[in-house]
Amino acid sequence: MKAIISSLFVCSLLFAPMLACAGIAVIAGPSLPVAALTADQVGQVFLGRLKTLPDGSAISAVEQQEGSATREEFLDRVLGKNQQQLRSYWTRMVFTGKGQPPRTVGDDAEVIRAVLATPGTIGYVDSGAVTARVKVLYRVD
Amino acid sequence: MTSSRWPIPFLIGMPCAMPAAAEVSAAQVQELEARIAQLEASAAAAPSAGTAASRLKVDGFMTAGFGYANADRYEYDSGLRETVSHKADSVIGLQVEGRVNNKTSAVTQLVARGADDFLIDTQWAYISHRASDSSEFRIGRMLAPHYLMSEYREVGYAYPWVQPPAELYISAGSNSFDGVAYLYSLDVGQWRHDMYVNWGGADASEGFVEASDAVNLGLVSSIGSWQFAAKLSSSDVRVTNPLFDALATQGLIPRIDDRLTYTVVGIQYDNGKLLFMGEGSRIEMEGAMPDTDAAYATVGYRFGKFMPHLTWASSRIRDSGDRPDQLAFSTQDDLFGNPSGAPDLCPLNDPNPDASLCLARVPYDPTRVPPALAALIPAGTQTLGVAYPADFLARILERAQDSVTLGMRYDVMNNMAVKFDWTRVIDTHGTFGLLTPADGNFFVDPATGQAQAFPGDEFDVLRVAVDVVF
Repeated sequence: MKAIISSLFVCSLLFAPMLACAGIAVIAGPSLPVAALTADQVGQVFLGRLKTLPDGSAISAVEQQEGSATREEFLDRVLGKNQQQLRSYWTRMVFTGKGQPPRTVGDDAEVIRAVLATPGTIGYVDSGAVTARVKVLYRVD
Repeated sequence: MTSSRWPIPFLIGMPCAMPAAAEVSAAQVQELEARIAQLEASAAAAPSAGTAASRLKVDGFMTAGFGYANADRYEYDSGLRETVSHKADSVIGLQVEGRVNNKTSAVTQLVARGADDFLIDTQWAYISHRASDSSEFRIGRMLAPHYLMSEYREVGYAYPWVQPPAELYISAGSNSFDGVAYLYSLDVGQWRHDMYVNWGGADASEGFVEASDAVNLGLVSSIGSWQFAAKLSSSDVRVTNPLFDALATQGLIPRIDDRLTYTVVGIQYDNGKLLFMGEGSRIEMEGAMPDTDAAYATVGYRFGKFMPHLTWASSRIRDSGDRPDQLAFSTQDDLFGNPSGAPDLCPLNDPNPDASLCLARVPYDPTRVPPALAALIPAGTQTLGVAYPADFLARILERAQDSVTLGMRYDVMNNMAVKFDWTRVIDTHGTFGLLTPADGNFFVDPATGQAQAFPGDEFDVLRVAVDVVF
C-alpha cells in the first residue's frame, strides 16, 4: 500500500500540471460500429483523410483546444506533429479546398460529451478521464 | 514528506488509479452521470442540423507587408523600390465553402492584392464532388499547381518566408485556369500518395497570354516527416494582343503559339524542429521563347515560436542561343510616332550587332488595338512606329537571378505570424533578373534615349509582414 501511495504521489507530483499521467485514450460513443482503430487510422481521421468507415457510416473527430496538455501529448505521440506543423497543415488543406480541421472543444469532459452527443465522432482524452459510457478505440500509455 | 503536502497531489492523482473504496456510491454517480450525458447529448444534437453555419464555411487569410529594395531605378518583383512600399506584398483572401450535400460543395476564393490596388480577383470558383474519401472531382476555376506551393502561394501563414523564392514563384498575379480536376489519394502502409490530373485553359481576359489545352499531372508522396513531389504541367500558349496579331499578320513578328511545359520536383523534410525544403524546375517552350531552369533550397530550425531560416535560390536561362531573335514590340513612346531618321523597316534578324533598336512603321487600325491602348493614341494617327530590339526576348523574358535570403518567422499566436526576410540578390547574369525598369520600359531609357541598361550591382530586398488566418 505504501508503494502504491508513494507511486501515486510521484505520478501526481511529476505530472500534476499536465493531468496526463495515464496516457491517452481515443474514445467514441457506444454506437460507433468499430471496436478498435489502429494508430494510422486515428491519425487519418484527425487529419481529415479518413471520413468513412468500412460499413459506410461517417466518422469525424473533435479536437481539444490548443494549450491542453492532453492535446500536446496526442499530437506528439499519435499524430507525430507539433502544434505549428498541424496549423500549417490545416492552413494548406483549407485554402486548397481539401478539408476542414476538426471541431475544437474544451477539455476531457467536453470531448466525452461531444462523442456521446454525435454518433460517428471520435475524440481523445486522458486515460484517467475515460468513463464507462464511452468505448476506447485506441490507447497509448 | 510532511503530511501537510498530501491532500492536493493525492486528489490530483485520483484519476490515474481509481481506488477501490466506496464502490457503491461510485456506481450510483456513474449512473447519474450517464443520465446527464444523455440529456446533454440530446440537447447538443438538436440545433446542429441544417443551420446556416453548418452549410457555409468562411475562412480567410491576410498578409500586411512592408517591403524595400535598393535596386537603384528598378522595381523588384511585385513592385518594391527604394521608398518603402506599404502594400506590394499585402494580400487578403476570403474563401467560402458552401455544402450542397454530404459529398458536394461549392468553393469560392476571392483574393485582393495590394499590388493590384486590392481589386478583387476570383482565383478559385469550383464545384467539388467527393465520390469517396480518396477521390474528388472538381469543375470550375482552380489554381494551376505548377510548383509545390502554387495553390497556396498567397497564404503567407502557410510557409516560412514573407514571399516564397521569387526565382520560381515570381509574383505574376493569378495563375488560375478553368477546367476540370481529378484528385486521388492512396495510402500504402506508412506512405501517403496524393495524385492529381487537371485539364483546362485560361483566357486572356486581362493579359496578353491565352493558355489552352493545359494539362497538369502530379504526385506528392509523404512518409513520416518526408514529402516528395513530382509535377508536370503543359499548355498551349498564345499571345492574343491585337497589336501583336496585327504585326504578325503583316509578317513583322512570328506568332507566339507554342507548347509551354513545367517540370518540377520537390522535397521537404519537417520533423517539427528542423525544416528542409527544396524544389527544382525546368520551364521549356517550343519556338522562340527562352527556357529556364530554377531551384531553391531552404533550411530552418524552430526554437519554440521562432524559426530562423536560410534560402539559396537561382534561376538560369538554358537556351538563349538556339532560338531566333526576331520579335518586335511596340513601346509606348513609339506609339506616338516614329522617331525621325529611323528607317521605315529593318531586317528582323539584323546582322549588325549594333542595331539594338531598329524601327518599323505599321499601319494603325484603332479597331485592332485594345481600347485602353487606343485611348493613348492621338486621333488621326495613320501609322505606328514599332521598336524591336534584336535582344527583345532577352530583355523582356530572360529572367536569371541568384539570391540568398535570411529570414525569421515568429509565431505570435496560434493564427498569426510575424516575418522578416532579408534577400541579397547576388547576380542577374546580364538580364533584368526579377527587376523591372521603374518606368516600365525594358528597351529605351526615356532620360537618355539610349537602350535601357541592365542592372549590374548586387542589391538587397527587405521585407516585413504580418500573416494571419481566420
